[in-house]
Amino acid sequence: MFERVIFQLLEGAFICRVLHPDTFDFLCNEENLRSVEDFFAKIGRRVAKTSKQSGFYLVFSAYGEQERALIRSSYADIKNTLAPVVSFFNLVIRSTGQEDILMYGTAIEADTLIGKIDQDISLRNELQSLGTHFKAFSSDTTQRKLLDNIFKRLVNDGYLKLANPERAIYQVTSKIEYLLDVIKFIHETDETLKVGDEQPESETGSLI
Amino acid sequence: MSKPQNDLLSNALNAIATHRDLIHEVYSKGRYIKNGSKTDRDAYVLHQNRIFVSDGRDTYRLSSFITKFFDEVTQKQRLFELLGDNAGAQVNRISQLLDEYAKAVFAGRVEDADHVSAQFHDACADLSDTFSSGISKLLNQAETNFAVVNSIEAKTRQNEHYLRQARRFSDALESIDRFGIEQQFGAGYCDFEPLAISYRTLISDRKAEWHTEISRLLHFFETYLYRLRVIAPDVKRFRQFANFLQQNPGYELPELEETHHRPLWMMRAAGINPVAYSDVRDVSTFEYLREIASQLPAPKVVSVRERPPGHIERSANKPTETLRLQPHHVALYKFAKAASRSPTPLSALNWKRQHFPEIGVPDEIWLLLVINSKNSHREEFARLRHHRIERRGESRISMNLFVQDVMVHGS
Repeated sequence: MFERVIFQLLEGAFICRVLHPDTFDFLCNEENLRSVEDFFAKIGRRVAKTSKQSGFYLVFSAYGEQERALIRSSYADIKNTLAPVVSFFNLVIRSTGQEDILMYGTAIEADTLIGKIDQDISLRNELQSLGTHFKAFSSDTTQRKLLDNIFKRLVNDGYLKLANPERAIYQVTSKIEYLLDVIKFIHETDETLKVGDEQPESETGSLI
Repeated sequence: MSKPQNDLLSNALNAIATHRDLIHEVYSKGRYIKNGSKTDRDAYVLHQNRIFVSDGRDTYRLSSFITKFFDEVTQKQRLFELLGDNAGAQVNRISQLLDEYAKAVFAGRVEDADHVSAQFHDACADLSDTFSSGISKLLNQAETNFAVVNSIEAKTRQNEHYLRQARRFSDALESIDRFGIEQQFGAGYCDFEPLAISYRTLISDRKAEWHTEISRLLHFFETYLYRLRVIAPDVKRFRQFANFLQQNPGYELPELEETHHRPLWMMRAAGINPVAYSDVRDVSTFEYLREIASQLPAPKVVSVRERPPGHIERSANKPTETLRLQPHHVALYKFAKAASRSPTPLSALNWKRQHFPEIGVPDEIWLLLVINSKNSHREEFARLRHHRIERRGESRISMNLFVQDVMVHGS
C-alpha cells in the first residue's frame, strides 16, 4: 500500500474517498501519513490536504530554483483550464439548480443534465461555447456527444470520476476543493475582481 | 366489529373500488373541482365516505390519511415532511393506556380492561410503524441528499429540518426508556401479561435496531450540515467568480511572479510518471526482491516431446495394394498421344469408338473428359489444341449449344 500511495502522489493524483478509497484510508492513519511524509521530505516534497480535508495531494516543500520551473508550468496549466472548468460547473449549477454540486462526492447524472440543457437555448449555447474551450468537438458532435467529451476531459483532469458507466453518473472528486481554494485566493488577492464585488448583501429588514 | 361499523367499512371500500380512477386523478392533480358533470356525483359519494374532504364549496381533496398512505406506497417525497413529530405523543399514549389498563383491572372492569388491552396493542403497532416508516424515509432522504432545491441555503434548511425530525425520534426513544414501561410489567402490582407480549414484540425487540439507525442518521445529518455550512461561502464566491468570467471572458490569472504570498495549492507538484528499476547489486534490496519473487506466479512450463522419425513397417500379413489407372484414364492418355502424333485433327468420338468401344463411358462423358483434359497440368494434354464441333439447340428460347465432337491435334 505504501508504494501505491507514493506512486499515486508522485503522479499528481488527488487521493480521496471517491477516487482511491483504500489509499485514502491508508493516509487517514496518522502513522502511515507520517511514514509517507518522511519519505517525501527526502525529495523536497510534502503531503497537503485540501481545505475541507477531503483529499491529499503532493506539494513542494520550498520555492527554490529547482522547483520554480515546475511550479510555473503547473500554474500555467491552472491559468489555461480554470475558466472552462469553472464555466462547466456553473453550467451544471444553472441547469440542475443544485449548488451542492460543488461538494465533493456529489453525483452528476449526464442524462438529467442533458435533458435540462436541451430545454433551454441559453444553456445549449453555453454548452457549445464550452465545447470550444475544451476542444471537445469532433466531426459528428451532437449535444450529448459534446457533453460526454467534456465529461471525459474532466475525468482525465481528475475533477470527476465515472461512478456508474451504465447510467452515466459522475461523482465530484476532492479536486473540486482545490479549485475552490484557487478561486478563494483570486478573490482575496486580485483587485480586478473586487471592483465587481462591491454589491452590498441584501438584509432582511423589519416591516415597520 | 359491530354491524354498523362493518357497513361503514364495506361502504368505504366499495366506494374506493368503484371510483378508483377518480381517486387516482385527485391524488395526482391534488384536487377535484365540480364542473357540472356526472363525476360530481362520484365525488360527493367519496366525500360522504370521508375519502374526499371538501375544500370550499366546489373543490374536493383527498383525505390526508389516504394521501399519506399513497405517499408511503409510491415513496413520494414531500418537502419538509413531518416524520418524527408524532412519535413523542404516541409514546405518551402507550403510557396512558397502560395506566388505564391497571385502573380497569383494579376496579374489576374486565370488559374495559379487554378493550384497553386491544387499544394498547394498536398503539404499539402504530408507534412501531411510525418508527419504521419514519426511519426508512429519513434514510432515503439521507441517501438522496434531500429533494432538489435551488440554493445551498435551501438545502441547509432542509438538512436542519430532517435533523430535527431525527432528533424527535431519538427523544421519543429516550422517553420510552424514561417511562419505564418494561419495569412496570415486571413490578408485579398488576397482571400485564397480555400487554407485555404486544409491547415486547412490537417495540422492545426493535428498539436496539431503531437506536442504531437513528444514531447513524443523526451522524449523517450533522456531518452533512457541517459540510453545507462550510461550503456555503465557497459556493457564493464560486458563483460570483463564474459571473465575473462571463462578463469578462478575457480575464487571466495574475502572473506567478506578481503574487507575494504562495498558498499550498500553488506549490502543488504536478504529476510525473516515475519508472523504477531495482538495483540487483544492492544487498539491502535482496529481501524485498525475494519477497516480490515469492509472490510472482510460477511460470507455466511447456515441455515439447520430440517424436522419433518413423519407418515403414512391412508386414507379411498385410495384402499388397496395387494402384492402377482407371480404363478411361488410360484411354485419355492414349488418345492424347495419338492426337499429338496425328497430322490431321483427330475426332475424339471416332477415336474412342475405334479403340475403346467397351470402355463403359458414355459418349457425352467422354467428350467432357476430353474438354476438361485441357486444364490438366500434364504436358501431353497442355500441348494439344481443341476444336469443338457444336450445334445450336432446336429450342429458340433456350439457345443451348450442344457439343457433338471435339477435334484434337498437336500444336
